[in-house]
Amino acid sequence: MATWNKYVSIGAPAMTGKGIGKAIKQAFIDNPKAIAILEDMQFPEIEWFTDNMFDRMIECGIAEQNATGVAAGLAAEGFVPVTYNFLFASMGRAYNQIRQSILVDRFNVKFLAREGIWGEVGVSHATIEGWGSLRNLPNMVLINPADSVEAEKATTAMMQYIGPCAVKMEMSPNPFTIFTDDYQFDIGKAYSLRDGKDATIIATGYMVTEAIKAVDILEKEGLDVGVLNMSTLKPLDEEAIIAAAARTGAIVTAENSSDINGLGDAVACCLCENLPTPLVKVGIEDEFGQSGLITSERDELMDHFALSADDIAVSVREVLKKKAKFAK
Amino acid sequence: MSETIKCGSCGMLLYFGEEIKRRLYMRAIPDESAVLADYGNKCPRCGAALSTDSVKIEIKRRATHES
Repeated sequence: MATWNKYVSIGAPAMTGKGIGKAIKQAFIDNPKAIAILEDMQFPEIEWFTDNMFDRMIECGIAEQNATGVAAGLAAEGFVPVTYNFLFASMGRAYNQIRQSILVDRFNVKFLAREGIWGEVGVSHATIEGWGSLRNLPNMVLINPADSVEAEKATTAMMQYIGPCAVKMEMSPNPFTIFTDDYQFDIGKAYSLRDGKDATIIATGYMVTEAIKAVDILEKEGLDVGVLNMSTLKPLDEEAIIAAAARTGAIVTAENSSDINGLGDAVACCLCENLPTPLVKVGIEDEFGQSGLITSERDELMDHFALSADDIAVSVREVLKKKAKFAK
Repeated sequence: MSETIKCGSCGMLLYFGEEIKRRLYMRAIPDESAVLADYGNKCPRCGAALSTDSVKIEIKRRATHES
């Protein structure tokens, strides 16, 4: 079995939503200005909110552009609005309102956004391009936690930070529990789960779990592969990327979303400008999400989009061939 | 170009976004001290006093081959 750095203790799968709900509840207790903006959807710990903070919830219905305007107005008056929805709706439909009414003035609005491919929600709700489309908007912070522990800490950090910020609630199988409770999350800081010598997998969100599985596969082949958890897509921890590339000379990126303008492109840009390094991207290649079956034996979409640990292992072998060629 | 401001004591990110003095008109945030004032001049995580002397301000410019 692979060995891991401090604050890493691989455990049973757990829902990231649990950690997010716990942090949101505490943030609302601590900050009387926090206010929930509902868009005809659930909200983390909604039953607790209904019982205890009914006057701090505004239901805007299926009218996301309007809800965004409401959030901007409340933020202008000193409140801390928190929206929750599928990313295609809260941030896709309201893209222009987010740009014009929130980001230009850098209003303190928080977004909890569900995105990813998992199960039978279909092409409309299984969006994969939203995260990448947000990356080019100035003033926005984007966080995609890897497990339940990091999700709780990232949500707490989001609520402490003053400025627009989104935490992605990935639609995916439950990730492993990866971090110990004393792990310290910092917005904009990547964390090396394992340093490695031959190659580094830079993964985000659920794909950190698949990267961990891939390390075990590759270790049996005698390969020493590192894993860098890149939970903040923006601001990107370029120092950690460059350090990993300098150490191992081969990078594989892994994300459960479009590989256009997402983590893979961000890492590739950083390395091209600073330390050109052989790289292979694992992600969804220029197509829409769709429905797939999940059984106890297999997750059809993980196979269909080639996102599993086996696929990451294939990419590591491929990047090692590139590294050997690059060295000549 | 982007600018980040971090607590000099614990490293918590306090600001990330456009370079504050870069915009010609309609500056929502006039200067770095206004960012710190929004936090009550106190880091919400470690409680350290915040001033433009106690934070790390970094303005990131385009990377070059030498960087």
